[in-house]
Amino acid sequence: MRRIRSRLVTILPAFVLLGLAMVTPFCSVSAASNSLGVNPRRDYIVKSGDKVTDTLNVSNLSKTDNLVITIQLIDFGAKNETGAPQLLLGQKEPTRWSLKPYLKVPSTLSIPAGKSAQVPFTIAIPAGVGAGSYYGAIKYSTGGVGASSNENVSLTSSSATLMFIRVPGEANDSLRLKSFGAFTPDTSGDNGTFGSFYGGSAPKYLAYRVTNNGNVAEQPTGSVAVKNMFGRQIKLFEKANPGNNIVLIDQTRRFDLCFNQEATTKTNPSTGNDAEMIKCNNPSLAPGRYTAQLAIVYGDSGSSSHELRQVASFWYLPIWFIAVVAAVILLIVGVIWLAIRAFSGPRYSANRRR
Amino acid sequence: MNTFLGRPRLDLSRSREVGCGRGLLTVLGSVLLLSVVVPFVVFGNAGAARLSFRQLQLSDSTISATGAKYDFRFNTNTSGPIGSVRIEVCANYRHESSDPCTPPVGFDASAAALTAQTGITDFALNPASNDHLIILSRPASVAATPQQLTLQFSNITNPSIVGSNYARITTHIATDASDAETDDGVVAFATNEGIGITTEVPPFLLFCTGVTIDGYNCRTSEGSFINFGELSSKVPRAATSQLLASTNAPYGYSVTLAGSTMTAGNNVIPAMTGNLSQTGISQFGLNSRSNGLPFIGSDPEGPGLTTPSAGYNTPNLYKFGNGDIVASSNDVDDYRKLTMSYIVNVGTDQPPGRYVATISYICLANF
Repeated sequence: MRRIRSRLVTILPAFVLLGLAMVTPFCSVSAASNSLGVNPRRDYIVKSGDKVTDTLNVSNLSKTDNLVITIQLIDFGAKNETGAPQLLLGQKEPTRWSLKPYLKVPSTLSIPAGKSAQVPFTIAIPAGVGAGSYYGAIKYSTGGVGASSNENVSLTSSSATLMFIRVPGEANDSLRLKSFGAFTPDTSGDNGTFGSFYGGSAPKYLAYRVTNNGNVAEQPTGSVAVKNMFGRQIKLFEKANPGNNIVLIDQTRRFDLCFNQEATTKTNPSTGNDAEMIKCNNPSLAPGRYTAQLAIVYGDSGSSSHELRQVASFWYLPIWFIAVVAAVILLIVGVIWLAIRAFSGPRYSANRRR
Repeated sequence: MNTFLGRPRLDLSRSREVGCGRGLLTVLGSVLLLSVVVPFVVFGNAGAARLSFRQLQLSDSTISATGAKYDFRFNTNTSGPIGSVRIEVCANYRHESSDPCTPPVGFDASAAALTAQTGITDFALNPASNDHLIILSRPASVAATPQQLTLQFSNITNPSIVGSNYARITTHIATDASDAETDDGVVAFATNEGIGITTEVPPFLLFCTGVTIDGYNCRTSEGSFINFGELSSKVPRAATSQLLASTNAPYGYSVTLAGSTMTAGNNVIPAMTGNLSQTGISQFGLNSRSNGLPFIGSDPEGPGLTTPSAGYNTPNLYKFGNGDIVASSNDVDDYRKLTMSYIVNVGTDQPPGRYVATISYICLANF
């Protein structure tokens, strides 16, 4: 009996090692999916003291590889003055809009090739939590395996669902208008310059920038009316926020309004999907001075409503027009001078004769 | 002398004639000049007294909800008589009171009842009110100091379309709101689709990375590792990977680069900042264009409109910035495939070692 036991003691580790040896090469050659489909964004209204339970859909787009994802809740802010989010990956301290204390999600999920899975989550807002916006990103990370001995760079892909929670009530709505006027974006579209004089081509955009100093992610609404120098309205932007975009807490966001927007639909022959292509064409503005009146309203139901108004103006005087005006002025001055000469001519000649 | 005496007289009279003609001409010329110049200079704007605080709370903000309560609260700003309050609900923002109002589709206040009022408490509904206009009249126009008024209406039907609408509140001296307003202000309110979930963006954001992706199909994505071979101080080493994304989210998406440059223990190959590949100088970077120096990569492909970001969108210029957005779209976007080209050079003084990096591409919906 003892012999058998001692043999087992000797053989068992050998089997374990053999098993590991058989499994390990399999693990190292098994590829992990880097292809996923997620819900991009969810918005909820949750009253203080209430709880919401729901699920998010995550798909493994690979037909051969399983998808193993790590799920994390990450705070995010604005990357720039457009609507690009920036995950605050290294930040330990929660932001003042952090959803981390109120949201629970599982930490990992495994999805077979070509399948989808539901990620359950719960948002519980304790009683006494103040009105305002709370948001965060549920990040799904694939892979995460370091480069093997023969490789230099390991690739992983991640995606996220942006979660926006609004706790209703009297919140601190505070947008400050920083700039408004004619605008020329740079090639990246992230930045650009406001101008008041355009001598080459007319400005294609009006833009305004607002900073959110409150505790609500605001979605301003409103309108912009543009008048020419004779007071005639030449353009009405019925929606000052045509994309219904939001301004995150502490963000300064720019909203661009194209004078002459053209939308064309292009069909992808392989998928049959229609893609809308939006192009901002040159506006057909006559030379002159233009005045734009901006009025934006923000603050939602249950909160106070605020209105921001500003007037901005710009000149569009192309070189050809300046040349024409100069020629006209010269012509008028010339005519006057000739007329004066014609009137005074006889007297002087008479005097001279005398 | 006569002649002498006469000349000034004659000259004087002539000069008056000439002066008169000159004056006329000067005036004429000035008018002409002003007619050219003045329109470019003169422009006027008007202002108005504002209601200093405005609030509107809806008992139910669901589209087409019937029997909704609308609770208005605002502060008057002008001391003086108040005879009426006018509340007009429009789908459009009106810059001037003379601008036409477009009534919100489905909105109906024709059966509204005034159920509560504070501040001034003798308002009654004026029969001139209609489906999108509420006029409250007092028996007589009585002077009032600036104060907060609350007005609660019941039995209102919400607009039937999701979106923002505007209620323009004005106070008047006349009891039927037929005169010019003394104070005015606008409140906006939004109607949405349901209780709880206010918006669910159509649920897809598809994203994949791989060493290769055939066509525009994430199912064909293959490979998670890049091998540069042996790094050299004489020849740049280059490799590519691909990423593919698509969304029907209305705000588009951004792809962020996360990770670190190549390291071997404490030894680092410096990240490039948007420069050319130079052999013999330690550098690591990437872009998403077709390059000639060295020959690597290809331009973005596919029916989508996503564009590489500045810094990663110039052939032969490479960059590596942790946290940089490498590509973005700002609208619904069909499949777009980007080929990321990586180059690495090492100097002769670069310490030997196994240099590795982990690069993560994070695809997020924009907001």
